Parts: sequence; structure tokens; C-alpha cells
Amino acid sequence: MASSEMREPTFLLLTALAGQPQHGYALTQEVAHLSGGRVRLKPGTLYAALDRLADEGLIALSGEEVVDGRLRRYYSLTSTGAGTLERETQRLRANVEAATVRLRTHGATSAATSQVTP
Amino acid sequence: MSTTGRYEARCRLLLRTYPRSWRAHREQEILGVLMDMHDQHDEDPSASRAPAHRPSWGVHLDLLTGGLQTRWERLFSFLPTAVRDRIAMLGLVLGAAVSTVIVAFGEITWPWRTAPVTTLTDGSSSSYVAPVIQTAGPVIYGLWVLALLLTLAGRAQLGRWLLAGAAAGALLLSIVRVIPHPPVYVLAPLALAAGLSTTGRLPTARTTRGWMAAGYIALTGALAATQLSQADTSTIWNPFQGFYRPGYADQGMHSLSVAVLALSAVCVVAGAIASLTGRRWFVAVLVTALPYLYLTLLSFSGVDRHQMLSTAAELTTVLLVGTALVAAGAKWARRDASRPADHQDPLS
Repeated sequence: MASSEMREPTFLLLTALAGQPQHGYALTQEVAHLSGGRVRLKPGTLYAALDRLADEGLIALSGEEVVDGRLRRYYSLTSTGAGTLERETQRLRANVEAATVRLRTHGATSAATSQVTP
Repeated sequence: MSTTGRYEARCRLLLRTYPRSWRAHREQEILGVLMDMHDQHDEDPSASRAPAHRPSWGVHLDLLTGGLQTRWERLFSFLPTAVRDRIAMLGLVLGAAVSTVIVAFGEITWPWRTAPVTTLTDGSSSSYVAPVIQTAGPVIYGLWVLALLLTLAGRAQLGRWLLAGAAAGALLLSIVRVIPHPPVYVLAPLALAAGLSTTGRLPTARTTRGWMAAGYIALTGALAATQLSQADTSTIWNPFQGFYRPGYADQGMHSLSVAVLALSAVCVVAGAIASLTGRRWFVAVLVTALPYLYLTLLSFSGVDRHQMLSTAAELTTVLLVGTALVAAGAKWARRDASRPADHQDPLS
């Protein structure tokens, strides 16, 4: 069974962690920011995803601190996670490039057709 | 109590849906996120509402479902992920095949009858006319088939919830006798298979090669066709609830019972191997399989009708006791999980 595609929340989480280690609340904010507000992770969903990504070895706990009496654990991208994100980025980039070329062709064809049509 | 205090208390209450061991590690952390979200709401100048004294209903639902899902997955955590995933897919495919046959032939073409066709004293048959849909069974079967299609279409999470709904519905129909329903031994294996299907990560069209999704559908069709070809088309007295049952459904349930037993056997073997390191989970799995072994043996044997009628209550008792034992096994396993040696899984 080959995993060929990553779901968007997972992609955004890994992207958010690619910059620097983040704690849970910062991750929800970062994912919302990266997605332009479309993806807003709730705590239950966030921690289910973090548990799964940690099990798969894509992220790891990198530290913790207590701020205003609240425990914050920081997560970071592992080398496996960085590789997975890189592959997914390449896959998406290839799709975008293919779509861009086709759309350009489609635009040119449409323009030519409209000139021919009386 | 202040607004913040009430908010925190409600959050702590919601987090109790998660297993204790999970909370020991995570509760303070996730509570911190929830309180940060609360502070953000209060500081947001665009928020027109008064300070929230409880999380939104969306967060309520998110934590409740997250907690239940975590508990359910931990129940089967003794099995290696790969085994769980395969059990989940096999359970889904088998249940969908059986559901397809029963909904088409058991409920619509040749419905379950809510009253026996009796022969009157003058030799003629009773004039009972069966409605198109006889029982609430199609709801369960429909959920099954929909779960398979949605899963293969890439909506595995929604498929899991449909399966959970099918399992809950099947159990509910077994208990609430007001609604006409298929026999208990039809519902029980379906409920167990649905439960097994939600323990692993179901492969979707996105995570499988194209031919595999088609293969699952073909397997479902082949299983359904096999059941049809082997079915006895004569009506048979159903000793459990006074229904007549068509041979299609009968054959389907035999197949599913055997399949569920086979899947349970996989769990027992894996649990037994895992128990070599001190885990006792195989005991819980064993007692889960026992009621269904009992059901299957009864459904295959030609036991006297009156004797079988009297076993309906007995079956319910077996199921309830089995469930209670599983719950006890779960607590036992949680105690085991706290021991360092138990973190080693010989199958992984």
C-alpha cells in the first residue's frame, strides 16, 4: 500500500513546523495563517494529528516550558518529516506546473477560437 | 467562580472523555491550548459576545469525538498497526458484501416477514401482506455500503463514523424491541465487524494504488455473488423472533459469522503472542469472540425450535456479559500499559 498523497491539514502542520519548533496553540494559528483562514484546527483534531505524526516519526518533541502556569510542548520536524514534506511539495509543484501549462494552452486556444468565430 | 474558572472546569470535564493514561501525559498541554484560545477570544476586539464561560459547541464535539476515538483505538492498541489496518479493511468489505445481499434480497425482493404465513383451518393461507421494507435493517445495511463507497472515495474518516453508527444502530435495534428488526444473530456479527472496521486506518483511494480500490469493490461483489449462489431460496422459520428468513440473508449471515470469527481469531493469536511479554489483552479478545462462536454454532446447528426460542434471552445475556468482560479486560490492560516492560511489542 503506497501512500501517494497527503491530506491538507497534515501538509499544513508539517509546513508550519518546517520553519521552527512550535507549540500547540502556535500551530493552530500558523495553520490558519498558512491556509488563509480556511483550515482552523480544533484542539482534539490537532492532538490526534500530532500523535499520529509522532507515531510515524515525522515530528518529534523538542522541548517544553511553562508560561503563565500553562504547559507548552514544542514540536519539530524530523529529517523523515522533512523528506516527506519535500516529496509532497515536489508532487504538488509538478501538478501546479502541469495545470499552468494546460491553462495557458487553453487560454490561447480560446482566444484563437473567438477570433475565428464571426 | 469566574468566567475563566468556569471555562477551565468545562474543559477539564470534556477532557475526561480521553483515556486516563492519555490525560496523564496530555491534559495540561491541551488545556493550555484551550485556555490560550479562550484568552484570544477575550482579546479579540471583533468578538462582540460576552466573555465565554464554556468552549464553543464545535470544540465540545471535537473533544468528545477525539476522546472516544482515542479510547476506541487504545482498546486495540495491542495489535500491530498493519494487522489492525488489514482487519479493518477485511471487516469493511465483508460487511458491505453481506449488507448488499441482505438489503437487496432479505429486505426488498424477499423481505423478512414480521408474522409467519400460517395455514388456516380451511387449508388456505393467511392474507398477510408484507410491506415493502419490513425492518429497520436497511438503515444499518445502507450505512455499511455507504461507508465502503465513501472510504474508497477518500472520505475514510466519514466512513469510520458511518461504521460506528452502523454498529451502534445494530446494537440499539437488538435492545429496543419496539422497532421491527432483523434477528439478533444478524445484527451482532454486523456490529462486531463494524467495530473491527473502525480499529484501523482504512485505506482510501488516495492511499492505495488505483487497482486496489477496484479490487476491494470486486472482492465485495464476488463475496456477495458467492452468498447468492449458495443461498437456499426457501423460507425458513427463524427461531429467534418468529420471522421467516430468506436463504440469501441466512447464507450471508453464516458467511459473516465465519469471517468475524476468523478476524477474531487473528486478534486472539496476535494478543496471545503479545501476552508473552506480560500483556493480558488476549483474554479480553478471547471473551469477545466467545459470544459470536456461540451464536455461529447455534445458527449452523439444527437445534430444536423451542429450545432455540428459549435461547434468545440467553444470547443477550452472553453478549452483555461478553461486553462487560471486555470492559474489565480494558481496565486490566490499562494497568499493564503503565508497566515499562509492556511497551515492547513483539509483533512490531
